[in-house]
Order: sequence, then structure tokens, then C-alpha cells
Amino acid sequence: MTARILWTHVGALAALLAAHVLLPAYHHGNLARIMVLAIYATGYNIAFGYTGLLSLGHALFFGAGLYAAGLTAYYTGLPGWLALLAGPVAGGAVALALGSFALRTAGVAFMIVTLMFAQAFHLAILYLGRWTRGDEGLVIARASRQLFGLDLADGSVRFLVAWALFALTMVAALIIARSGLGRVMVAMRENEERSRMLGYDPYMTKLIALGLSGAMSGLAGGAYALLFGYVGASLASVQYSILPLLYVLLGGAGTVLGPLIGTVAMFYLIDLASNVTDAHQLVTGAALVLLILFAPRGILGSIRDRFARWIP
Amino acid sequence: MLTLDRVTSGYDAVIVLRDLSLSVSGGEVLCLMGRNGAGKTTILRTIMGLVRPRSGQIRLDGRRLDTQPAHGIARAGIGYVPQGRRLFGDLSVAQNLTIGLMARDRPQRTRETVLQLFPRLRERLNQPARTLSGGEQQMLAIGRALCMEPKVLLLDEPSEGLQPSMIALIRDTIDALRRTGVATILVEQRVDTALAVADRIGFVAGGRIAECHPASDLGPDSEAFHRHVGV
Repeated sequence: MTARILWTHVGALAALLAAHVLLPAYHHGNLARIMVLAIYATGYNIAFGYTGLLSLGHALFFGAGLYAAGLTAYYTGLPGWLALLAGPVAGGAVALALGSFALRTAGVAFMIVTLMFAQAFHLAILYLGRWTRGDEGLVIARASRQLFGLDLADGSVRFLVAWALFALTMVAALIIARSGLGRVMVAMRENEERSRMLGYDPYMTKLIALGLSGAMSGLAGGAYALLFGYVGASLASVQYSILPLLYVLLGGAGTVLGPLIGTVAMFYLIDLASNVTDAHQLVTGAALVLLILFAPRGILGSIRDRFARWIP
Repeated sequence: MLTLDRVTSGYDAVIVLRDLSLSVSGGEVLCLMGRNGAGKTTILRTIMGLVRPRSGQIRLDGRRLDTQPAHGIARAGIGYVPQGRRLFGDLSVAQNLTIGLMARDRPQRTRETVLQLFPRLRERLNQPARTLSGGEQQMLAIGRALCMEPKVLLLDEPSEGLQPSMIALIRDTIDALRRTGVATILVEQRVDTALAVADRIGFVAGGRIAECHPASDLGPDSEAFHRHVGV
């Protein structure tokens, strides 16, 4: 790995830590949430940005992690690390199970199949309200939100745990992007038939990518449940399938730091717009239209294209 | 040796190849010529498994290929450079070559061999493939296929749209491959190129090899070219 790639990513992580020290307390909770959502977007980017799998059902993987961790913490009293671990395990397992047949389709059919299963999961959460409490959701008690003796309900601890999990995910994404698997994923996205002609099995490559993507999305879901102490059906709704797509498009699909940049930009765009007008979604929509018109490869994607080809 | 034995294939309701048989041995260059729509590209796509044969058998060194998926056929040792090159445009030259190496777990020295064949690629290693010139893209497409160290190389009109110096380079490359024992099936429209590089020239018409002659028996004014290529 070249030094400038290493320092760029270390710098991004250092900037997040510095923000915790320098910015007012209002932003600490925001940034913790942003980093968890950036983990989700990073996972989505593995499937969409690198492999070209346009899924409309990632809320299923996020929700699987959310509920696996949340229900474990809420009902079983098992240690926090086990509850957290349940997130990526559930997300990855569900992604592999869904992928094993959804990947027999492609394009629009793949979008519809993934959307359909995510909606079925959302409805199942509502149907199983006796355990999940449906839309109302579950609030996880502070006593169940402990991780190796750390109180996840504490603002600073929450920020630092979110930062550590984001750092872990970002490093994993960087390793994947620069590995042989990452190159094959990009080759698959660019030209599936050509990749097949070079001896690569598209089904297996995409299944691995979706599994990794699902595990990262599940980690984000698990982290969300434990860090913010809430598990509800709205977090597994279709909106949560669209959000990571927007974060990735805004930040730059197929870049390691793009999902973080997109999540920060989108989060604060909505935050600022909602302070000015009730029609904040209109402002957000206009910003996205401008972005697609003038920087269709997203913020970091455009920077990479124009100034820094080395950015992974 | 690659053999096609009474292969019939096509697209949906349209039959393109009808009971087609051909074979090519290691170190041999077989050039396929014919009018547009005769089925030359379909022969290559059928060998690669991108078009499934409806009947007949395709074998490489006795091993059946027609029952395998396309990626299995590539791994068995068939390299394919399609018309239009189809590179991974966002990947660099080096990454495109690495993808070829990884496909069959070939060592880095294979890449060196390819770079010796196409020194210009060495100067462009970190450049995105989409920014290369047409000739350089063709070099990369062939180089990437060679990184797999194929037993049989399928080339679909590699000289199309290239300047004369590039065409000469591609002819030299095919000659060099012949010496290494790689069998080549070349689809070509240019009579001079076919005569310069081929050992045999097969003329495709009506979904079959209508005629096949040693290249040394043909000249630029041979009747076979008039009948099947229209020159």
C-alpha cells in the first residue's frame, strides 16, 4: 500500500477523532450516528460500488443485524460483545441466503427480488409484534448496553465505539478494494461477460461480495441497536434501503472513503435544510439533482477522476 | 487439439451454425473468413460457451468443453479476445493484466513475457485502460488473454480499425504465439493478413466450413476469396 493511500485514510480517521474534541456536544451524537450509517454505506458500496449489484433490499441486512443484536441484548442478557457479534453474523448469513437465489437474476429483476424480500422482512417484524413490538419498537435498557465494561449509553463511549467500528470497516473495505477479490469485483461490474471469458465465476464472486456487504450492513444494524438503544420496524423499512444508495452515490461509488463523505454530506444537508424550511426534502432532492448533473461519479469519485487517480 | 464435431448452435429460433466441424492443433493458426453474418463470430462464441451448442461436441485435448460454463472453458485454456476489445476501462493496464494472471493463477513472469511482447504497455501500466489508443487497447486485450497462458487463443478481427504499424505488430504477435505452441483461431476480413499469418484458411458459409485450404495454396487473387469474401 502506498504511503499516500495509508495517510489519506489515517487522516480521515484522525479528522473524525478531532471533530469529537473540537466540535460542540451537539455534533457528537450526530457523528456517532453518521459513522454507524457510514458503516452501512460502506457495506452497500461493496455490493453496488465495487460489484455493480444495485440492491433495493439492503434494509433486510441492516435490519437482520439490528434485530439479531437488539433482541439478543433485550431478551437474553448475554454479554454485549455477543449481541454485537450477532449483527454481522445475521447480516452476512441472510445476505448469503438471499444471494444464493437472488443472484440468479440480474438488473431490474435483482432490484425487485431484493426489494421484495426486504419488504417481507419488514412485514414479518410487524407481524411478530408480540416479540418485536412492531413500529413502536424496543428500547434496550442501559444495563444491557455494556461492551467489555464500557457503558454504550455514555455519549463519549458511544462516539469512540462507533469510531472504532467504522475504522475496522474502513480498513476491511480498503483491504478488499486492493485485493485480488476487489479487482475481480470491479471487473464483474465493468463487464460480466468479459470476466466470465477470463475464467471468473460471476455467481460466486457476486455471492461473496453480497455476503461481505451483508455482514458490514449487519454490523451497522447491530451497532445501531446497542449504541442508540432502540430497535424498531421503521429502521428496516424501504427508506433504509434507499439511504445507503444515496450516501454512496453522493460520496462516490467504488471509493473507500466515498460512503463516509456521502453520509456526512447528506446528514448535514438534511440537518441544515430542516432548520431553514419544512420542505427540506425538496432542498435535498435539488442538491442530488445538481450532483448527478455536474458530478455524476459523486464527490470523491469526481475528485479521483480529475485530480487523484490513486485514490482507492 | 481443439475439435468441434458436428456442432449446431444459434440464437433463440435462429440456427447459425449447422453441423459445423473443425479442428486446430497446437502451434497452428486457423483463419476463418466469410461474409458478414456467415457465423464466424458465432463459432468463437460457441467455443467459449457464450452461445450454447444445441448438438455436437467441442473438445480440448479430448476433454469436453460444451458441457462446461463459460468461466470453466476459459480456465480449461481457451483465451478469447472479442471484437471491440472489451477491456475493464476503469482499471489500469497493470490491473487488467493482473486480472488475466489471477484467472489461472499464473506467475508474474508471465506478465513480463507479455510486456516484452508489447513494450508500449509497460509505459502505460498505471493508466486507465479506457484512456489508451485503439491499438494499445488491442495490445492490452491480447496481452490480458495471454496472461492466462491459453492453449488456444480466439481472436475476433484483431486488426479492425488499426493503423498498418499496429496490424504488423499483431501479425508478429500471432507468429510468436505459433512458435510457443499456442493454437490460434483468427477471424479476419483482411486477405493480406490472413495470407501472412495463417497455416490454413477456412471459409465460412451457410453455417459450415464450406472450404478449407492451406494458406500456402492460396494467393490474393484466389477464387475462394472471390466466392466467400467478395474481394
